[in-house]
Amino acid sequence: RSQIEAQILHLTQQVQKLRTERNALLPISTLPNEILSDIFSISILRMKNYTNKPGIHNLLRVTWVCHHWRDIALSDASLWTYIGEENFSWAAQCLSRSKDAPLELVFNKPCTSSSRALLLSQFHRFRRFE
Amino acid sequence: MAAPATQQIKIRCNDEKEFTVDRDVLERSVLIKNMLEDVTEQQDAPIPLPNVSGPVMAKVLEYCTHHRGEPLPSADTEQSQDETRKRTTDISEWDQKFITVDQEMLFEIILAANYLDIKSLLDVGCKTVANMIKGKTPEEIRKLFNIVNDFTPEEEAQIKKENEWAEDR
Repeated sequence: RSQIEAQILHLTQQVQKLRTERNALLPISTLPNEILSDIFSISILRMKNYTNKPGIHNLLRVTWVCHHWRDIALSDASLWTYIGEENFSWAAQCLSRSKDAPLELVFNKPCTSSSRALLLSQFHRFRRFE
Repeated sequence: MAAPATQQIKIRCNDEKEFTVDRDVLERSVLIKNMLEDVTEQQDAPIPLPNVSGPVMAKVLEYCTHHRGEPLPSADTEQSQDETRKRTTDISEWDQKFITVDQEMLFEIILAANYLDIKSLLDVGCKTVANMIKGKTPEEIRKLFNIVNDFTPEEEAQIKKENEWAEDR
């Protein structure tokens, strides 16, 4: 039984690999990474709308499409520099994914104390705070 | 008095298709503009464009002809324009009609605009794709571009877990 399970695991991994290779042959995959990254940046709509639910969701959703899109979105620190959300998980993800890039923070309501402490630890990176 | 004759430039695409175009139209492309500035003598040989096919170049020239005479972004304003353009996904009515093409052509126009360094056209292409993505679920995006889900069930579970908070909102 363990042999069969190992084989199933191996074949599943092979299928995932083939799916990634198939995706690489699609017309959209002809676009260079920096252009796709630019498209993601436009799709999340910076500034006002970005603080709203659709902006956050648009950004998260592109990271759920496939490995290639996820890798591009997560490796572009500039996509994660605008923190317009009071949620601790979101703030933590943005701080980590934005690496050392300058941050813009815009809040419509007061942060929780845990978010505030986390964000203040990166005070030296604040470029804008409202 | 007759207007001065516009210089005509010949270009050759990667499928041997040639176009003879007014210089000011071609100079919407910073790549070609720089090439022409580097050439001091009149050349009869066509400029080779190995990364663009004839059908795509025809579309690019349609765009350049429509926008001829409009100011090109200067190096000083480029950065601030980059920021500004990202804050809006608006596309003019003419540009919208122009870019209403199948996906393959859309991506080829984007690649050509990138290669030829035509920022405004690259912008129209990127905004068009961004507008296609906006508001869609991952599954809808996959369907739109024929992408298959290549995450393992374990990876999907992990991604879902790290973003649980967003799903509840």
